[in-house]
Amino acid sequence: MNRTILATALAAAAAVALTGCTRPAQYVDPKGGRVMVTLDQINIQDWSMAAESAITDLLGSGVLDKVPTPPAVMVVSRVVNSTSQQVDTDMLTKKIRVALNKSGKALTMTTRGPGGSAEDELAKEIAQEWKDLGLVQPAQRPPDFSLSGKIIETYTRSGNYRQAAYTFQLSLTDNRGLAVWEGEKEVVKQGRRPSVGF
Amino acid sequence: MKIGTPLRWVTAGLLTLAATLGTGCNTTHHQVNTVEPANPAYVRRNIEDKRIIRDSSTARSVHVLNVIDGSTPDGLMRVGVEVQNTRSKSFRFNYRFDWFDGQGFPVNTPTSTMVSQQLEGGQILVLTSVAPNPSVKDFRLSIQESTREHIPVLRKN
Repeated sequence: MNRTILATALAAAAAVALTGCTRPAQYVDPKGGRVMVTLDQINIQDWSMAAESAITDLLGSGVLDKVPTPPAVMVVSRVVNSTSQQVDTDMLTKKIRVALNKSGKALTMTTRGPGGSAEDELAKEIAQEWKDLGLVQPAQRPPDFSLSGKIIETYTRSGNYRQAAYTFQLSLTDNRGLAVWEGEKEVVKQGRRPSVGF
Repeated sequence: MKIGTPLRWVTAGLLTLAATLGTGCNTTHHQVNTVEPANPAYVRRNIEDKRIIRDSSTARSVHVLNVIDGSTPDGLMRVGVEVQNTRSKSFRFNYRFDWFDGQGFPVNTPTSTMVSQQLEGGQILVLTSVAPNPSVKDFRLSIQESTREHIPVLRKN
């Protein structure tokens, strides 16, 4: 009799637990605390935290105001991906560009990029047309700064526990070739398995 | 109803195992001691704050000591909230700074994102943020206990 009661109680508890663990698809706030955390990927909140750190530090340094004619003009150079994943580094640089643009401190030149490439080829052609017609805009000047960086992954394992550390390194170089601002943010995650929320 | 002997031993064994595991996993009782000048050289501009506490447990683990008001060299508003974990156990939480313009409307910015942080017992930390643009006049700091929950399986695609 006691074993029957115990077995029934355990079965009921298991059913409740399993029911609670299954959850239909739902929208979550990408800036909230309920996004998924995994160890083998750079998650969206990792990009956000790295960008937030860089933006706060860069705006706090005041270096962007030290240009002859504000706002500063910036180009985005190479952000090297030294991780084992295929990532789009725009996940980091775009957030920084948006923040700097909204702050009024820096504008990004989209018609220049590393190796002569342009983010916006059409804008590059239009700018050339203006130049060919002799209608060069006063704002068209060489960039004041170049933003470059690197993302490094370090993996550690201890028994069943794993630790993934992602280091986001950024440099802001002026037209003399000097890094007038440098920032580094480490995002470290530990665990045995993925989770929701952080 | 008398509980059978085997069941009593199983229950006792499970409770003992749970206590052992709990103790073994408990790495949260390492409190932080701090040393700093008795008369700091910095001059802080503390501001009055309004607090709405919905989670008193989190409020004890992330106790707000001071709210510091300042500015960057180029005139952007800068805020620091000094917090301390007044408990003996470490505490993991998320925080986010939201910014408002002169009319009280929220200013959308990539920096308005949840940041994960851990405070050891007794640890003091200053949570800082810089306003996204010069039109920002006010801020709000949200603090929430870590929302982590485990999911049983993640399928690989």
